[in-house]
Amino acid sequence: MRSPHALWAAVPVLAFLSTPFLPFVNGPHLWFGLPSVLCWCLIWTVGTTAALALVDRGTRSIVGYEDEEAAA
Amino acid sequence: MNSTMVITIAGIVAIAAVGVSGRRAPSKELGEWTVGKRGFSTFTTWFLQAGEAFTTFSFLGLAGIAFGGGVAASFAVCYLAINFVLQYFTGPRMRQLGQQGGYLTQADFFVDRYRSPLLGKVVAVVGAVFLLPYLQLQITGLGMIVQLATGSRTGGNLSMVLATALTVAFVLWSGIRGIARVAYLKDALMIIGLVVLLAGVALTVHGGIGGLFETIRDHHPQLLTLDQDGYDSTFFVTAVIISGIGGGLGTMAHLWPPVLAARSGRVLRSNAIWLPLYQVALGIPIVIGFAGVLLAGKGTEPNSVALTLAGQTLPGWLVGLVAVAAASAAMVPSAAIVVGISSLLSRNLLSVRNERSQLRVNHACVIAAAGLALALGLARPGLLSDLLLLTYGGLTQLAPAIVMGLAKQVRLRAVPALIGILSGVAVLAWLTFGGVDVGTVDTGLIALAVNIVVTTVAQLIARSRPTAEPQQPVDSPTNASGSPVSAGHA
Repeated sequence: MRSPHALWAAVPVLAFLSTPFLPFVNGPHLWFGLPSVLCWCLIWTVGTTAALALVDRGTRSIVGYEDEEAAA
Repeated sequence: MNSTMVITIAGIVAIAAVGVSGRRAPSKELGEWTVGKRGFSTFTTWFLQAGEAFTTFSFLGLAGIAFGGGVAASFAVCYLAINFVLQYFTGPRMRQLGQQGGYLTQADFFVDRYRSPLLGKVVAVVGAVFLLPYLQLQITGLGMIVQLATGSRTGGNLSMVLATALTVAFVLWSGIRGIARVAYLKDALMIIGLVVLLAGVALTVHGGIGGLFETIRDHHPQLLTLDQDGYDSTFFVTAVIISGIGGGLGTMAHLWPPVLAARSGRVLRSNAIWLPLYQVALGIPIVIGFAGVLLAGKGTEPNSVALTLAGQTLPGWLVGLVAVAAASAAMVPSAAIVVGISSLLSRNLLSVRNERSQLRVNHACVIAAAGLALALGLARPGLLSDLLLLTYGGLTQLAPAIVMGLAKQVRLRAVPALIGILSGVAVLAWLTFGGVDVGTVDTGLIALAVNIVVTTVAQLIARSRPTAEPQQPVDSPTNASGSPVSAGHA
């Protein structure tokens, strides 16, 4: 899969890995009554679905993407 | 026998009965038993894939980490989401190659893509050896769950024997279809169990969940940060990377059958997109672990926090329900691991040719693996604990060879791949047991770096010398029997 849309998938990964380095996240803060670190991770878990949906939407139109289904 | 024990035992029997009901026609060959007819729907594959995310670790381990390390437990939420990002790209390709090459196991992939039965055997041994302690972990975890829920050590041991025997029975009878059937029930039970436990905690803590975290912020603020001894930013980042790679690139053998059984690549992509939403439920055991800081005594064993709180906050019959949910979280992964180990041994290590004999030998391996894990769990529960330290990091050493094998043309040769895997495992063992202080860096990641360097150097040397190795496959053809094509070279 060489579509530029695939780059969307890197966004939540970078968000997860940056968690300890963001002062507004990594601290004794509460968001919506929950720890900010936990909240951040849960938000980006939902963001993972959004990012992969964007990748999927962008790449489904590419010719050959569904070749394997056709071959199956 | 109290009501909690009765409900728990009845629940374990009911889970196995559901698994037994999953059988369609008697399996005459290993392929039907292991991957069905490669026609599983999005719905069925969803529950099979979700099964690995919700294990005894979700109930016991995650709450335990939150109890001792606070928000560091969030690393599990992160790496599971990264698993699905990687699976979105790798899963459909694995399934495609599996269908073309007739794979039934992870090691089949190595045999086919690297044209090396020897590499397949090494991978089979590595997979089986590292998965055995993981299987034992599930069984002993189940015993611990029942013991904590009922207060009876004898009851815990009895439930380990009963659950293992019943799991073996439904796995032998129904194969992957039985696991899929139980996985539906397990996930429903898990969600109900976690929500019930959360409600019990919320009603018990002064000020509910909001009050819980305000108290934590005022009295234990360090638990809300990733700047703690043993749970610092290095731990978080390296653990997320190594666990994300491990699950996302199919390094654990028992993760392959659900992928190989999927009807299409679209099924796997769809699940990879939506399964992360399911992982949001893992926030619940983390919250429960925090509640343990206020409600459980200081000397509480971290892994027992969730069920200790269940005992403190819920009536006996609801504790039984939570225990059944937790037991199902042990039985489903156990069943999948048993399938993973037995198929590796019968198909790739023992290399039984005849289809029917292969199934019979496989069934013997199921009984042997489960029996060994149970016996060690009962008699020497600590014996495999050291090996368990190597499970995740050790299996991740297969990742470079898996990635290279997924390419359209496999450029990495079998010998460099083999040397890299063995180097990574050796370095990991040295770091783990050699008393080497690496701080909070995940040792698996260091070993993986060595693995990649060694593989690269070995590949460069191999390419610079004339070789008798056969042409590496562009994409493997399916042979007549549906077995992976093998040229018989090491």
